[in-house]
Amino acid sequence: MPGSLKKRGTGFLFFLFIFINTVSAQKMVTGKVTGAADGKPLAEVNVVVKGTPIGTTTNPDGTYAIKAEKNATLVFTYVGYEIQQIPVSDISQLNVAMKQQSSTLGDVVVVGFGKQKKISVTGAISSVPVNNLQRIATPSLSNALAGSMPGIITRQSSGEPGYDGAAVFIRGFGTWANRSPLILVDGVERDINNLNTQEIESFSILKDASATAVYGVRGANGVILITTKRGRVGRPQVVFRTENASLTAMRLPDYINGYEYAGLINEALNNDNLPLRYTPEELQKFKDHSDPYLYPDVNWTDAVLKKNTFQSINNLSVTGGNEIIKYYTNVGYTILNGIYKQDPDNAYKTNAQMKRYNFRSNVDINVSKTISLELGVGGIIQKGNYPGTPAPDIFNALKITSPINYPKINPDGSIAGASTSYLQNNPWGLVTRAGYTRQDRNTLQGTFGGKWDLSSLVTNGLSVRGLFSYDHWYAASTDRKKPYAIKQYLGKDNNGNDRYSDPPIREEQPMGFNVINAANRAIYTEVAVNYNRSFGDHNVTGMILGNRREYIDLTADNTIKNLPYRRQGLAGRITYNYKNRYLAEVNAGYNGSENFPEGKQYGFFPSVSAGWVISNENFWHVDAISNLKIRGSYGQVGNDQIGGRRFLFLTTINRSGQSYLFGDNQRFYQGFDEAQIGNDDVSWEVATKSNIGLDMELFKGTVTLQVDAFKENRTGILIQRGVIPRVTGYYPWTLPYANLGKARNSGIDALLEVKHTTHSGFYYNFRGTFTYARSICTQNDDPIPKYAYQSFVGQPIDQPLGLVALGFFKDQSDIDKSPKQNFMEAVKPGDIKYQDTNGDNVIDDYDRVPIGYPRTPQMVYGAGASFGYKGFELSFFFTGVAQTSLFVDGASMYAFQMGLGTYNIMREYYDNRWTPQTPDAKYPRVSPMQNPNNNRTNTMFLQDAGYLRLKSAEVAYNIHLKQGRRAGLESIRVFINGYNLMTWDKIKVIDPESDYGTGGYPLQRSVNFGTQLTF
Amino acid sequence: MKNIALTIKNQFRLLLLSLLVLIPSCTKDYLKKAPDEDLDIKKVFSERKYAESFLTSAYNNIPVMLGAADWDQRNPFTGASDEMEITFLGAYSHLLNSGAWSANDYYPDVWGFMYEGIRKTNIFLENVALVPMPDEDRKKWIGEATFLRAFFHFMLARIYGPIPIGDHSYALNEDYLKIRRQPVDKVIEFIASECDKAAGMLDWSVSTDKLGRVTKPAALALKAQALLYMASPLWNGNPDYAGVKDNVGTALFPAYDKERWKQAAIAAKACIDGAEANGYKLYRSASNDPVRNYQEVFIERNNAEVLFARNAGEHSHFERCSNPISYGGYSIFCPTQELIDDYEMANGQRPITGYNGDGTPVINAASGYMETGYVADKHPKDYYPAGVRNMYVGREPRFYASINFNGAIWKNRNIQFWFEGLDGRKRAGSDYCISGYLMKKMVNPTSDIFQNRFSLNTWIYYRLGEEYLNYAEALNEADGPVADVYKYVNAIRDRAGLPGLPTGLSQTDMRERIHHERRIELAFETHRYFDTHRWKTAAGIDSKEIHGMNIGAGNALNDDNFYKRTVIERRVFVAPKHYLWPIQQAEINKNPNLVQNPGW
Repeated sequence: MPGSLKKRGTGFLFFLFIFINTVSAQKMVTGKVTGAADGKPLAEVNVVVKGTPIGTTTNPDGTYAIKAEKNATLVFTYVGYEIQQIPVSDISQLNVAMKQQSSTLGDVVVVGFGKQKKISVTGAISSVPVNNLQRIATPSLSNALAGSMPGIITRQSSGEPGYDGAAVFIRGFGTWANRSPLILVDGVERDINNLNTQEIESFSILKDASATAVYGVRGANGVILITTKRGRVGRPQVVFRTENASLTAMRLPDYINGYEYAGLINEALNNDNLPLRYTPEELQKFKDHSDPYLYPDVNWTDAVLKKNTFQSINNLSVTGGNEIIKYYTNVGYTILNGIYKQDPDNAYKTNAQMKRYNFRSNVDINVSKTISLELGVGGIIQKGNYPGTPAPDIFNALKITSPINYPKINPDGSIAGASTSYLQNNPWGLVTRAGYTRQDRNTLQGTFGGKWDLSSLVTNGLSVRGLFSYDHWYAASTDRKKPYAIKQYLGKDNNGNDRYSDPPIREEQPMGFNVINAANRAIYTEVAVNYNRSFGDHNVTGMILGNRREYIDLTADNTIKNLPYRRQGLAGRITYNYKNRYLAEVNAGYNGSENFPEGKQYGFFPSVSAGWVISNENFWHVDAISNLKIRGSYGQVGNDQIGGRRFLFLTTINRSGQSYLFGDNQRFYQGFDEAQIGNDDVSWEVATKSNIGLDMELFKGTVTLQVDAFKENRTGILIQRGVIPRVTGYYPWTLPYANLGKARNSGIDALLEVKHTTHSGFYYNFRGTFTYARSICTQNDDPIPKYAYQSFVGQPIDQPLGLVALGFFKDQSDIDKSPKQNFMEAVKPGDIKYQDTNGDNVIDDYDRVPIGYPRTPQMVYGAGASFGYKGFELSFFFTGVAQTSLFVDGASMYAFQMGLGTYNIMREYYDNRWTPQTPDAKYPRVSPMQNPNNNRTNTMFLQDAGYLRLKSAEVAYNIHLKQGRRAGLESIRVFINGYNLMTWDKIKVIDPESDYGTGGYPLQRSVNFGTQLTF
Repeated sequence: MKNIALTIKNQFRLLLLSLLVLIPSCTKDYLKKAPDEDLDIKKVFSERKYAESFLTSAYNNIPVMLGAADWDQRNPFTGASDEMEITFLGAYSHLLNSGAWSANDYYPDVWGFMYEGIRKTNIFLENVALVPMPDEDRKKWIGEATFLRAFFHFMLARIYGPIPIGDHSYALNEDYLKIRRQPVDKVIEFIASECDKAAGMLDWSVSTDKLGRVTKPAALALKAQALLYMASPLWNGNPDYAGVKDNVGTALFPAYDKERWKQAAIAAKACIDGAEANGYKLYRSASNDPVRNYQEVFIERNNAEVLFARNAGEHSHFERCSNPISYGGYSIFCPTQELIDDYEMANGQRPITGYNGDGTPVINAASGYMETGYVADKHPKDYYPAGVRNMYVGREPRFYASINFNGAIWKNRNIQFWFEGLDGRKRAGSDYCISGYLMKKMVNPTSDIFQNRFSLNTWIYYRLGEEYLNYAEALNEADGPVADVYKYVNAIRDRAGLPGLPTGLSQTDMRERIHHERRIELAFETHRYFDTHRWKTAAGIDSKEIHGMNIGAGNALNDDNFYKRTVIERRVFVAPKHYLWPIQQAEINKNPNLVQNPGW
């Protein structure tokens, strides 16, 4: 009887409804909430009966209805507005005008293992409004962070779908071991890049010892705290957001064409007085494409890469709840396409593609007045499709294969190639004929937490809290690689038939099959006791927390990696606040890891901090400055991330050591040898950090300024012993690690915000951030170099060394009277002349000096603004970096270094090379072979990689639909935004965020159209 | 009522307190996690199988000399001698040939690789007594490890000269500043006495399934080679090195002592006599065809002439380097014109006796050699086909066994090195045949690159033929051209189908003959590089232009434009600097007591 089933279901729902809504029903209060300044209705205002969990939110027209007892008080809260508390008494109609908050001091800040009022914070913590991040349509959250907060430094070097996350550092780095910050999502270590931006509620970074000491051995590199959205009291609200972007590769290398290439070969030969390779007739054939198979001119980049590709991000969320259950659920679907062209003849897809399904559900349950539970479930399914050739190999082939090596395809449609091994990588073949790889990565994140207020049971202000999480990650990669046929076309024979190399360079083979699995699991448990109480003007809080984490690589390939990674510890915090004027805080972490020898597993990391809110003093009468706080902190934090190396105290034997063949038929004999030489004394790094900060608010919160200066000394950086000579016979990779390195990191970061809404409803906002961090190596375990200027001690971490180019040799007499350049037999005019640093009249490696800046920028800034008026919004954000260098070098800049005809040549080099006619060129002459004099790390190929980028811009229009449509659609937001829209830099030929060389998978510029519907 | 609430409160407080006490006690073992039953050194030497694996790893440190084009194979010697030019630009020999190497260049890291081997043998020798096994077997293992340790020392001494002797394994807390270079005669003395020790423990030969393991003749051959090097002019009273001292005043090179030649001769003779008494002999093919006699020495694995060889598996890279491009090769192991010119005619005459100022050859008309023209008929035994250049006609059999030239028959067809030919420059990329010749010796004629079909390779370190020449050289220096000198040189020539040396040669003439015989007989076996160094002739030989054919021209086998002698490289050699390698600067930075070699 289906009817009865349906009835029963409805009945159940009805019961639930009654249960939720009829807990206490005395009186119905209705009313309308408006803004005090403009009298406009305010939607989404929280209305709660004081002292109870009963609450609701206002409708788009500002109206609300709530049941309350006669003696109850209604509390109205709304972000950015002052709290209103109004007693009910006999009134049944209660209209409220909300005043805009004059300051952000009432805000709550997420801190390590908890939350604090912003006014009472003494550590260095920054956060970013989440909608700033949401304006950037990227599947990898880390790409949205550049310049967004003071203290954050990022660099994105690849745009490959699924591999496009940026490297993120907090305040530079204090070490040359693992530099990554600890990233916590809802309190649990999780990957930042498969989070969906729409799911995020808050994003903040903890920078100094005060903020991070509670993380003990994990806090030294800074901490990123992300919380996901939670439900709130009110009727269910459904938001659907869809955004579709067109992506364009920002910068692809511009290589010279076949005619120019062949001509350059002749020029190279001529430079060395060798006979020319091509006759003028042959050159003409490259130019006019009259014989495209034997005199090809292939633009491989165009042949293989598309101009545009597509990305779509879609999210549907439902939020709501009542005094007992609150929920937030989001489902997301993201698709990001790659930029490879496809061969329509293939039955399968070869273009790169990343598809992601996100699911997240956060449920909060108030079990009783004192006990509340939270349950969070996140699921991420990411599917990837890639060509049978990995992206680095494709981009390498695009660099290697010159326009004149061979045609894209032969006259008979087969893939063209040549017998030399490097020429068997026809880019078109690699992209379209090499089969494909399918990836499937699944993440499951489960969090269960509870809180028990013990105020009545034990003592006022005491509560306990617990958290358990289980994360599982599984990835499978299915490789269907295909060795396709490669033929070399040799022209026509006497009968006019096409001739091919015989046998072909490679014969076609069937498509292979291979599956690679990887999985890991992490379990995290945390129990905390919190105390929060005021005694008159004295406010005290305390926290003690114990936690434990176990991570297992379930598909590890050796016993060491297969052992669980474990950590456990305690964290504590005591804060004291007198009249919101004098603030003091003590934080400490005590934790240990299985990775260190017994007796050396645990470390204690304390920090102290204090703040003085000058503006709360009685003597403060400067009205313009509504808040002025100075704060300082000092303490220690640790870093136990030692590059995945484990159990460094053990001496181990490698059972798959170097082997030998014995017997006439040379049978394999496995050798054993030393795998790791142990050090009993190995431990974590310790960072001693100090921070001085200033917080200021002007004109009632219109202008906010936050400035921090910091200094950090990192000791015990784990490095492999560098002074043990090779003559001892240890394999270099077995040498023990020891905590010998030291580094110093210092800098400042700052945030300036201006926010204002005029009486006419015009809203504007400016936000600017600045970060400067300089990390210096102060001790390492390198032997003392022959010349002191080649020591890395005293230099920035990652400082490159190279020769200083003085210009070019003009003529033979110039060469004769200059110091001998010892890199090749004889230099010629047009070769680079170097500085003789040590003055020994010989130029060699000893003349290398520190040149340029490290690759990670020392200075990062961001600035943006938003404007809003009557539903229209306009916003944009710029980011920039300075004090960083990039070597635009490698075989495409070192023309013919790998031989004539090998490697494409950048137009940048071609247009700016030295010739007798252009003696004031930018780059040296072309050589027909390896030119070890010119082709080495030197200042001529070193570029200033600073840039300013229009990172994002958005125009949006919001339509609030009228009352009549209330049952359905509530509001519509349509927007167009762009990402990576413009870049101003000095390099111009490749992206300034690239790795050394001439670029890989390019970063993408996106133009994104979106709609958000709220029901 | 209030009382009850209080008790609950108190009870709860108690519960909380006990929890706080409980938690730490159950967490104590949480971090006690380390791998179970993984091996350490002690366990390795408590089990015979494991200990054997440790020795196996030490064998791996015997360099594979076949990969002369790549630094990690640690053979830059062939490409850096006047035998060969390796076209591949990454070959380390290019740096040596251009003089553009320095103490800061790490590759090939012979130093580190050999000391790794020395450490392994030291650990093995220090622990082998612990292995539960019969002493008879243990003795052989000790013999093998003792030989390997001496061998690794010699691999170092032959390029660095005086070196630190590694007679024990170093601990981490040792004072490395105490490690010093030992005088070269002390090093050789150590090697020779270790060889004696090893020879006393090893067998003359091993069973088929053990081939590749060290035998007694290997130890005797190493000793003979080490003593020959010690007697030679580079180390034996070299006036250039008279003042070379350690930083505490120890002279690193000894004064001249003629007796060293005598010792070298005795050691070589001991090796020859012992080996021959135990079945070793010069290899001859079944047909006794002189070309095959010689070619098969390097193809027929473990033949009766081989005293010690490294098993190298299927070394396809070697086959690729030495095959022409139309055979699927890289075509980069290119013998020089100078080597081609040094092969004798079949009649034992030298075709070319020198070069004019403009690089043209001085042709010995009496030899029958012709620089121009093409032969009408093929060689009766197919040493060359009809139509090849007269330069390649009438040469000695070892030429045809060692060199692939333009038009030569290789794997049943003709090689086409001319510009437009199948193997010509025009069709090649960055890898190509730069001289118009490819090495044929040691290359397996049955391998098929396109089909990925290769044979097992070995690298012969010591063979009886070399011992003959070692003995002849040392004996001629010690006693002059006595009968034994003739006997052993002529044995080599006879196997190769050449007439014996003319009688009545002076000691100087005989020296020249022996040097020449070594150049031909031992070509591409890495001896040439060390011979020209120890004879101190490299300064004259390796500082000149080297030549090949004109690969940038020619559209047929009989295109005269191809056969133009063309400079392919101008080599640099600075004496005395380049006679020894520099010790890596990084190593000296770690231990300044390792003094640098002169000139670096």
